[in-house]
Amino acid sequence: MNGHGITIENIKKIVPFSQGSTEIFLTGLWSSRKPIHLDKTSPCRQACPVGNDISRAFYEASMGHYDEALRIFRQDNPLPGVCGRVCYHPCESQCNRKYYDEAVNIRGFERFLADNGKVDIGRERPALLRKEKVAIVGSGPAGLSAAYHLARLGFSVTILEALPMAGGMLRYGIPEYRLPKGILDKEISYIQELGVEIKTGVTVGKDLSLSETRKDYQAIFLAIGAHSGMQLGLEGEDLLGVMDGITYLRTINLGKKVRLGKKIAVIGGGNTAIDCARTARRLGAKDITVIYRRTRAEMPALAEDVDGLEREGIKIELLAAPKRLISENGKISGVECLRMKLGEADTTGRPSPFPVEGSEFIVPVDAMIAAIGQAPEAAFVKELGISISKNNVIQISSETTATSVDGVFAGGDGAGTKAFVADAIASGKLGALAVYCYFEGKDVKKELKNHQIGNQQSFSFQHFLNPKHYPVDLKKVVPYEKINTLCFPHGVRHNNPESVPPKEAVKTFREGTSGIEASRMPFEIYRCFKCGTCTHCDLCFLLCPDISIIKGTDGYTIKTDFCKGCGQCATTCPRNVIEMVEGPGGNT
Amino acid sequence: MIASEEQQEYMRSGHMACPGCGEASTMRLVLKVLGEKTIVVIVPSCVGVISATFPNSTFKVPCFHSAFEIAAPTAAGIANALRVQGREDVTALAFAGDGGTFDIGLQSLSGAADRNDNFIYVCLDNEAYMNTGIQSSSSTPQGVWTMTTPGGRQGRKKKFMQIIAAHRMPYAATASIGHPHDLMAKIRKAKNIKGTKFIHTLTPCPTGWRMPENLSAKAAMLAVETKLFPLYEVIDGTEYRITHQPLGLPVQEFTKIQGRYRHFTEEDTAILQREVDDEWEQLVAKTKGCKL
Repeated sequence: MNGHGITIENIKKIVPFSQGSTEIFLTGLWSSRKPIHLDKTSPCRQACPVGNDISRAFYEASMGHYDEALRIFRQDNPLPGVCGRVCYHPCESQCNRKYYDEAVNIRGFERFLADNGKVDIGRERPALLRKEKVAIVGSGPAGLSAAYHLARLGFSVTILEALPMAGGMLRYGIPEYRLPKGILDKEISYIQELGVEIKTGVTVGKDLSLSETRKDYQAIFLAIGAHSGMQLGLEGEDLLGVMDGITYLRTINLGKKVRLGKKIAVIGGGNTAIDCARTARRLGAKDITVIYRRTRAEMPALAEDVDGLEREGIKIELLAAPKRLISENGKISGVECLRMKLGEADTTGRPSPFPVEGSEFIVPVDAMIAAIGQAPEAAFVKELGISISKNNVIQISSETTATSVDGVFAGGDGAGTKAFVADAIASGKLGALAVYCYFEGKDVKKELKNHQIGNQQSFSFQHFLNPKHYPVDLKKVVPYEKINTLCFPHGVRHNNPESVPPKEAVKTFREGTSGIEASRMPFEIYRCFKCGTCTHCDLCFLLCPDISIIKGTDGYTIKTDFCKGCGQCATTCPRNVIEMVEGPGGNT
Repeated sequence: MIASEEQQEYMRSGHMACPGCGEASTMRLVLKVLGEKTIVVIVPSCVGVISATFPNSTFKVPCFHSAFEIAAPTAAGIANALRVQGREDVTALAFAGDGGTFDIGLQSLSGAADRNDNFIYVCLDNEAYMNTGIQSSSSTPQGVWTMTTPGGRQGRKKKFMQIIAAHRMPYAATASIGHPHDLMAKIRKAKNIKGTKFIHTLTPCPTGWRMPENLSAKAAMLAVETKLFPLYEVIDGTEYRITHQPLGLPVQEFTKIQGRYRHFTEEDTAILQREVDDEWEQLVAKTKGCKL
């Protein structure tokens, strides 16, 4: 015996079979860093004034759920068919894909959904109706948006519209060839189906005073738009053959005839100017010149519309501004212009033009349309003591849409927001939030901050309704560097095709572009990176060397006991959904 | 999308692979496809360390730990034994590293392939003897740093797929963990072919490639997308088919993330780029006229 009792006989035979499991080794202890799956916000969404959840809509559409994708758009935007046609698509200018090849045709996608998806208004109806009544003055994009969101919150909403039909600038400012009235009618009808009452032909301040309205309704949202064209400030603007742009467009859209002649000058570089020129072309004017004082790069109009304008044979006289109107027998016969030069940047960031002395030249015309900007007709609000600026713009707090009078809110062009459809819709949406907070005694600024998307002014309506069950971190925006582009083959962008050749287009008010073909749409949907939205692509699950990502029916969970924290999943995630965090990590 | 029968795991957590190991994920996916009816052969290598920490195993399927140079004939022997027993529903699978395949196991693999024994051979190529401390193998690319080639390897990486193709085995393919669906599809294909099947996988090794552990899958993707490690298959040694069209990124996208290429000058990279481009063209030329 050797003391410890071990002899060669009582050592068990060593059997070289491994029958145990390596799961006794808790390799998760090797690292304190663990992955976490959390959906983030895409830069396109941050750029969208309305806050559309674009990447999620693309994800739903990628599985063929077009109706659901449309529903996601409609969570924040009541007018996807309108925006899908006329929006200035800031989303596309922030699209991460533009650094890879070309931005995704997001606007075309929104249009495709609006044209082909089915809307189920029943699902949007609020569970509880509230007793408060809200009046909205004006049925343009801001008014419609406020009405839609307030109705979804259960308010009883009435829109008061001065013109014979609802739609505001969408109907009376944007020509048929860019936005067919049928599309607008359809989207307005959904808002009406939600229970919104629209009274047309009622001019507040004339047929009905604002103070009366204030008595009948517990809150008012003023979305009066900017329907009065600005003057050039030159002598002779009362001459025959001189008109302002927005009046011209409204008159045409009201179905009336305007005879201007063959030779027309349009002053301005915004959408109204372009719309006026192209409308005049369609109504038979042969020789049209758009006169703009800066260069093409500074034109506020959408580049694609300016291209369309040129294709239709309309001249653009850049770096020129009118100096004097020349008349003959009380009728305009020419516009004397001055050449301009660009100087230092002004407050808008664009270089300011200044005239070149002695560079006068004359553009002979039969008529001139001045489309240099619009102002609201807001004098009637003074009756309640609401303060307005000297340009007639209703003064509001840009964060709360509140006017100087309790219970009265304002938004859209009439309150000086950016003069784009999407910004008007956004302002209506914010107005709805403000009205809600007014009744609930909540702080709008705080609410807005809670539901704010990235660092922009937009907020998520869905997050506002149900923040606890909202699957996305609204504050984290996915930058391009975090996209694993190795997972995406290059592909060309699918633009909306022209539906009529330019030669035909000048003879008709038919819509100029058509929707992306249904057979091609999936390719464009595939091109979208879907930044920040988990598409359940399984890459993280398949790559995990430690078998520590478990695939469930609605996402992935992490086995933190075994995850060695290598971070491969986070690095290779195509769309930056996964992040490595200190501590327990785990699932969403 | 993964087929439902492939949801099951045949490798367990808790194995001893370094964090971010490319081999572990490759083995896991191969087993996921082959399923329960598989017998694995492993040899002394990282695989031995990962899976066989006696008395525990990471595999949920039977596994035979053979000698370094005989992964192929061991699997062939198992396959033949299974055939004799009428158990041809069971797949014999060999895992071996680049050392066990390119260097020491070459003659035995060649013999088994010549007999066309019925097994799948998965070469887990991490381009050096990583297990023993990063010594150069004949799979280490030219110029690359290892412990035994501190100034960069003189020799050039063996074109192993050409050796394999020369055996005219029924199925051979390259695969990468960076493209898991492609890898799984190839294993699925190999499973249903009789004879010797060879899958050459590039399995990035954060330890030996001198890169952060979170980059191995990305390195695998980059190897494919730079055309450095194209994904293709060879049927009967003659019919070539490229299974993934690479993005064609510059090779430095791949080399710049790894310390083993750190000493590469611009000229070195340019030479590597030319070589990669030439080889890609040769590969494309081989696919011309193929019926696949």
